[in-house]
Amino acid sequence: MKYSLSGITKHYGDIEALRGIDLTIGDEVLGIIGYSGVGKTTLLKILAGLEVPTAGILKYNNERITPDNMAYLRKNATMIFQTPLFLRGDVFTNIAYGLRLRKTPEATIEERVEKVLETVRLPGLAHRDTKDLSGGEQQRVALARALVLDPEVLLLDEPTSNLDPGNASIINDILREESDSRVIVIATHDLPQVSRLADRVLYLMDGVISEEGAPEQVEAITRFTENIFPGISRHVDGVSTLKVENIDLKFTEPVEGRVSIHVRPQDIILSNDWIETSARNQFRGPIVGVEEKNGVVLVSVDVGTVFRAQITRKSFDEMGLFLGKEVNISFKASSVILL
Amino acid sequence: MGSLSLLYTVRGVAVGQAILILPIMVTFIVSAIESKDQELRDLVRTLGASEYETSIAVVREAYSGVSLAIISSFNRAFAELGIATMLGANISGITRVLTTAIALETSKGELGLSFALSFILLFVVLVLNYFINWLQGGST
Repeated sequence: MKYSLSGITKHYGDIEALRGIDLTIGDEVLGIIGYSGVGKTTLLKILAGLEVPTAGILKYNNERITPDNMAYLRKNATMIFQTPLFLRGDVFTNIAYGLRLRKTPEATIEERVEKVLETVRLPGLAHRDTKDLSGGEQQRVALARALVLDPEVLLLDEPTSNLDPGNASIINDILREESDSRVIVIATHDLPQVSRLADRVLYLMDGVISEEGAPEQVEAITRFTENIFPGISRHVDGVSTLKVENIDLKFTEPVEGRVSIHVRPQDIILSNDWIETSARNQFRGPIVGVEEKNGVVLVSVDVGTVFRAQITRKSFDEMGLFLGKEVNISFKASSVILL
Repeated sequence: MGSLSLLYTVRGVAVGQAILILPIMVTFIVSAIESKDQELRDLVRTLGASEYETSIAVVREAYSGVSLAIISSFNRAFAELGIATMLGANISGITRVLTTAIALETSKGELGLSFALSFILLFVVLVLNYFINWLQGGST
């Protein structure tokens, strides 16, 4: 057993980021999913020895971790952050940094940097300035900088959230290869990624583990895969807009740049006609799918992109809905969740 | 200053200028280091840095802000007149500096010489700024 956490709690002032987490992590790939701000990063930082829990017991290799021996944990567990950050200098300087701290001989450093660059599919890039790297290259160099230390545990915080599908797929391939030789804990909202990579998934909600199990057992994964839209957001006059296909989705979170948003199927209102409403998002399109599950009906509506709305069987019957019928969907800008 | 025998001496002027620029320098350096936020600290710590090594890394990454603080402070002191006059008294050959000389020549009506000295002052400031910028460019 690599980690054992019991009653781990973390407060930031009045904010409770984690509440009584009990968890063991063995030789496995563990996925952590959940919305933004539920404590995923905090949990990773505690596992990385970067944050001290407010309460609870953290053990690594059966040794209790206290503020006095967190360096021991940090020598064995390396974290990769959502946005790669680099020290001044070239790729080599950055990858060699951790090895130099460990007083590794320069000849060995050169050899290991070269090897790890091949692992991350970036051979020959050692002397490129980190400022000149593309987004995908940056994340792979950040991965190389951690892998070169050969850590027992690799902790990744949303490693592919800012990447295009091509680069995300390369990162996933590398992680799959690395999962044979080390423990991997990955916080993500890329659910296909977590389904393919993880042996076990935790669903965090408001600082507690709300579901846990193999990816196919965790209901949150199926619930989560509905209505996720990645794209580039613009924030103007207090409203953010994300262009998806040919429709503009409005939401309130003030963010610019590449983001993924999620609309819960139960937050979408279906109507036969255009309705006067305060909801900033209203679109019209035909019903392209109907699926009944546990007494509720999931209606897929193609308004340029497909939305899934959840309604009761009674509403479905009363509205006289059928496949191909044109309907309106509406939802508030504030019900859009930023992932 | 008198009891320390610093009045009307170069050393006295230097002490006065140092007191003047200290707050500017400290404020600039502190804000440069603080701007290197928690993410950088977390990064170097997860790569295995001790607390001491983390501090070194943060200062090194804040280098451009620190050098900006040094240039600004130097420029402030170099172009300063009040302290140079008050503590140095503009004694020819001893405590006369560019700014006090410019003030003296202007008050004498020697505008030509005053302008010439002003251009020398500007030239020195510009060359120094350019040199520091060049150093920064080479190191990043």
